[in-house]
Amino acid sequence: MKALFNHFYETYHQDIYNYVFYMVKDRTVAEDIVQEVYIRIIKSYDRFRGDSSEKTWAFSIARHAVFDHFRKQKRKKKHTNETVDLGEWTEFIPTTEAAPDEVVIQQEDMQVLYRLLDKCSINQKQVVVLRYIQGHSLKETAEILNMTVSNVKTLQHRAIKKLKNLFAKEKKGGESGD
Amino acid sequence: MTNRDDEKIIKLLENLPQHKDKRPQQEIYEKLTLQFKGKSQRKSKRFIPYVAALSIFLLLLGLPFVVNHNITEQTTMETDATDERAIFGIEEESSHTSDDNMESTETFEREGLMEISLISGGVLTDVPSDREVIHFATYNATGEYVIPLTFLVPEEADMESYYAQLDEILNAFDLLPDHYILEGAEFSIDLDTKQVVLTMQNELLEDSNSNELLPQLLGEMFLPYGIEEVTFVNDASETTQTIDLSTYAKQRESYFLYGGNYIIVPLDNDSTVEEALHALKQSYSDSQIKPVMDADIEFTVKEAGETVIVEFVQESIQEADVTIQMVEAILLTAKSFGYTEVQFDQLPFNQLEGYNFNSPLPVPTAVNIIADIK
Repeated sequence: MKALFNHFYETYHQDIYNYVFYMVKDRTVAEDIVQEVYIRIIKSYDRFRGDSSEKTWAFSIARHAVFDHFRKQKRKKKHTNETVDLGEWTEFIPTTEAAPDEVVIQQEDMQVLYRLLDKCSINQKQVVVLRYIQGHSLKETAEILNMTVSNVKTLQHRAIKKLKNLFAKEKKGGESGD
Repeated sequence: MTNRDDEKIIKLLENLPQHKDKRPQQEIYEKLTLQFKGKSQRKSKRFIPYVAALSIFLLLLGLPFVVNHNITEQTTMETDATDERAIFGIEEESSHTSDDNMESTETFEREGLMEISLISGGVLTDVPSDREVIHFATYNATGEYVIPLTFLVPEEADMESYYAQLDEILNAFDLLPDHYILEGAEFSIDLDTKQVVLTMQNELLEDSNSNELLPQLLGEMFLPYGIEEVTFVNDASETTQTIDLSTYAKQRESYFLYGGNYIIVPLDNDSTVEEALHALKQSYSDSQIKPVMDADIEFTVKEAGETVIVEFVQESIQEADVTIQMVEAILLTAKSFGYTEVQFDQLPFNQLEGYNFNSPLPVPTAVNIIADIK
């Protein structure tokens, strides 16, 4: 069991945690879900037939665990924590080599976008997180989400369109509010 | 907004922070072993009281007689995606639409493939979060007016699959004209590159009538997705025609009622929004086209940024004159001129069904909502 855990931890842990975190936006909840992911991986690894890659298999387990969490939450009639953990931003250093002013603007824009992600539907959000934040290929994303590549492309397009419109509205609101 | 805006959003997304789990590997593993132990202990203590077990057994015996077996079958066959939709999409989100106009009248199975909720007319202001809009279009019997049509589909749906059934879907709703010029067309739609390739062998395309109609039809169907070019290919994959829709993107239009649906009446490109709104009072020789505004109604039109202000002359408008069709035709006409809101001043009342006139109303996203295809 330990060898299997170590293998998955070393290969996928931070990526899976990142995906789960973006979906639930709560550190404690994300940690609990990731624990559950390991339990499921260890319990079902014998049945992994290699139809998909190990990576997409592990991510699809994470996806199911996230949805089970939402399901339980819905049963409890609690809402998803959609607040932005601004503490996360203090650790973030932009990778761009822009001028300081531009960095500030870009950081503000990213904060807005980070918040707007929660306005997307769950499926759109999953695609955005997997494709753009985590850099999965279309094929990998489709395998993880058990969708066709065409469906992923559709969701991706719609998510970007939605974010673009919301972002423009937000910026417009911010400007008129100044 | 442009492709550059898309790229900006994508770049920002790519630069969002990567969240790291700061717990040590060993701590996670120890917690995991405890969880495994806990689970196995709980399992060994689990028991079901005999009476309860007997009740469950009796219930299971009786279940097939109580429940239609299709339901059980369906439950076991439901995919993850359906399950997930059920979690987030159970509540009807028609409140986002101008829902007073939208009545879900019936749900039925069409050819056993799709579950469809019929919706009667109206406009769509906000798309429910788990749905997406498919834009179709048809035209009147004389081919003079193009009528935009809207269907709601699951957001993860494969758009092409609906376009592949365009004529069948139109036919199912009695919206298919004779010799529909897109009948039998195969659509290849790429939203990333904003290109549509149409494969068809239809001699009607060479008909002079279709020269006018076709770009308008395709414009209604694809401009809402930002697609401005449609390429036609034949069975040998040879390009036979390319239609640039961009000239139709800024088409000035008025909206009238035609047999219960809206139609678009294109105007001259130099028309003003005021002229277009006054055109809503105009009568047409075609008795089926009905003006949506009484000819005696007077109003002035002002523009304030992205808002059109329509101020009615109080004495010229009675309560009975103000109809949903009039309000929506004004909103849609303003939309065709690029405005995002309309402020209605001096109406005889402040509320008409879902529309409250105390503040500017947003222009609709789509018109003629025909059905919600599940």
